[in-house]
This record gives sequence, C-alpha cells and structure tokens, in this order.
Amino acid sequence: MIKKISLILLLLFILFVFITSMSSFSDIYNNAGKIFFSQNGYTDTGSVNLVTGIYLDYRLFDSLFEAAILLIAVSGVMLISEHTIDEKNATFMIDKQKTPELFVTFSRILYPIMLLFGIYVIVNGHLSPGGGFQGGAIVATAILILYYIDIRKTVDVHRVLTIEKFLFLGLVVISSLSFFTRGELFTNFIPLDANIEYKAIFLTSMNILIGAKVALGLVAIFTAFLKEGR
Amino acid sequence: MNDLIPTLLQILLIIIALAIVFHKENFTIIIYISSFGLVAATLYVLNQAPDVAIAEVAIGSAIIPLIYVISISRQREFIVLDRVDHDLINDELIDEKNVELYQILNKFVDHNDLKMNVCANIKGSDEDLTTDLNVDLIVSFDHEKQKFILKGKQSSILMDHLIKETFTYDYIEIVTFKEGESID
Repeated sequence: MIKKISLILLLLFILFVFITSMSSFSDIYNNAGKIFFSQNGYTDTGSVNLVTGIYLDYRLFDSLFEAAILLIAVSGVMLISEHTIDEKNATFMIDKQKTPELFVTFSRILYPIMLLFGIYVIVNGHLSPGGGFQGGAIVATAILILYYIDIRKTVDVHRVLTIEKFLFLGLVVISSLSFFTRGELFTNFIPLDANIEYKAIFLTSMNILIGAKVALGLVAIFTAFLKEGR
Repeated sequence: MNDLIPTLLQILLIIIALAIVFHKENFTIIIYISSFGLVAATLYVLNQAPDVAIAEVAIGSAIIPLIYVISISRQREFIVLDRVDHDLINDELIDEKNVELYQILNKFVDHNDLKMNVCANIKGSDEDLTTDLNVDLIVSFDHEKQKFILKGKQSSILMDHLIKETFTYDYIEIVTFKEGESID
C-alpha cells in the first residue's frame, strides 16, 4: 500500500515538473545556441564536425563523466559476475556447437575492413560524422568477430581493465593541461588564437584515447558474458 | 512525397516493436531487435544526425544482439546430477521406475528445447553444487519413503514446470530450496 502511494506521489511530482518546465517554450526552443555554434564553432574549436567541437571543447567536462560511466558499468559487470577476474580468460562459448564454415569465411573477410573503418571513424572524428565512442564501438565489434574465427583465442581481462583505467587517467590529464596554457580547466590546451590546424592535435588525441577506452571496455563486458554461467 | 519514406519507416518501427513484445521464439526476437536498430538508424540519418546513427548501428544492431545470443545459448543446457546408489537397490521394480523417471525427464527436456547433461559421482553438499557447478537438478533415492527425490533451485522457472508435469507420479517427490545469500 505504501509502495503504491509513494509511486503515485512520484508520478504526480514528475507530472508537475514536466508541466512547469513546458510552460515557457521560447526559453527552451530558440535559435540562440544554433546561431552561436554555427558562427563561432569552427574558429573556436577547429572542428568541422560541430558535434565533436561541442563534446570535446565546450562541454568537455560532461564528456569526462560520460567516459566514467562506461568505466563504472564495466566494474559493475565484473563485480556482479561471481567468478574471480583471472578465471575469465575466455575460451569461446560455442565450444560444443560448431560455427558454420560460411560464417567463419565471411568473418575473415570482414574483420580487417571493420577494423580499418573503426580506426577511420576515430581518427576523422573532427572532420566527418563519428568520433571516439562510435569508432570504439565499431572496433569492439570487429574484435568480437575475431572470437568466431579462432575458438582458442584468449583475452587477459585483468590487463584489459588495467589499460582501460590508465587510459581514463590519461584522458583527465590531457583535458586538464589547458589549466597551464589557457588558465582554465577542461578545454583545448592550444591557445585560442592559434592556427586551426594545430587545434586538431588535441581533438585527434582525445578521440583516439576515448576510442581505445570504449573498445577495451566493451570487449571486457563481452568476455565477462562469455564466461558467465560456466 | 518527401515525408512518405520517414512515415513508412516510423510505422515499420511500431510494427517491429509490437512483434518484439508478442513473439515467443527467442532467436527471432533477437533478429527483430537488430532490425529495429537498423530502421532507427535510417531515421536518424534522415533527420540529419549521422553521429547518432553510427552509434545506433554499432551498439543496437551488432553488440547487443551478440550479447543476447551468447546469454541465450548459455541457458540451453539442463544439467542433472545422479546420486542414486544402485548397489543398495536390489529391487527390480525400483530399477524399472528409475528408467521410467529418465524417460519423463527426457520428455520434459525435449519439450523445453534443452540438452540434457547427466553426470554422476560428484561429491559435495547440494547447495554448493548448484551455485558452483550450476547444476539444475539433483536426483537421489530415499529408502524410507521409497521415493525418488528431485532437488532444484526454487528460483528456476523450469522447476515449476517440472512440478506441474510430475505431481501425478507417486514415486517422485520434488524438493526446492532457496539459493544461499543472494544480493537482494
């Protein structure tokens, strides 16, 4: 009974917040942000892809916590799956049922192409659609296909997790470098009036770090699922 | 005319979502989930959000179906631990009933699309075996009651089905126990 009442109260509260926030549409939906980013975005951040410009320069503080969410998710999966971490050096799941020959052959053809496309999406994150997270997910998918090709493939989850933690540390350090050059935290460390080509150094290095971190995190989650239930 | 393709795709999205909810076959649902991801990604591209579309294709239609496939193929085994001591049983009638018990179990396993995996001669307490080795069912024989006793986890849905199918047989008794210290 108490649960039901508290649920109804919570729903009413959400409805109240929704109605009050929807009362002033012109504050929420206006062109101010769009005009600002399309006028200053390219010269401020040096990124042709404005989405990358926003999440790696204007809103870098938010992106750091987004990267931290994946780290926490991986840690949670490892905590909930009851085995010790060392035990999870995966031998592949389909050890009893045979993988079809056609599937293996197509995986062999697709694997290098997918890896190349993932790396392209990561490195070109500031020039074309994509970026660290998307490219990292594609690279992770390519690595997962590798499991189907070679059944005896093993991954040292312990090492993967350690590398992921150090990559996150590197992410925080590189994004804090701007404190010494620009005098403020969490933005591009190359000065604001510098050439646009130099600003791409920061964007590319951040994209590569985020991509590697996401790929390793997804591979770790996948390996945990493989070993689960044995 | 320009709005025709997005409208059709949105209707298709609703149809796929309903199909995911109402379908019964697990692997078909996984195919539906990944096609849902593809249609959603196409809509994102049509609405000028290519970054989101790449993420949707990679996560929604590649990684999540792979994880589901693994999780489901993991649940396809039904592990039975046989602890009946055949040296102590001299009655032929009970041996016949043992054979009959395995026929019932085979039928049950086939009905649920599982593979039966029988093992014997493993020592250890019942609770430890179900948590460590992931044993689904433990078969033993009680001499006082003259009954076969089947033990399994209380939380498993398969045990509920097994109770429903076997309560008419008077020589089978099913005991369920709670799993040890769970998180919640």
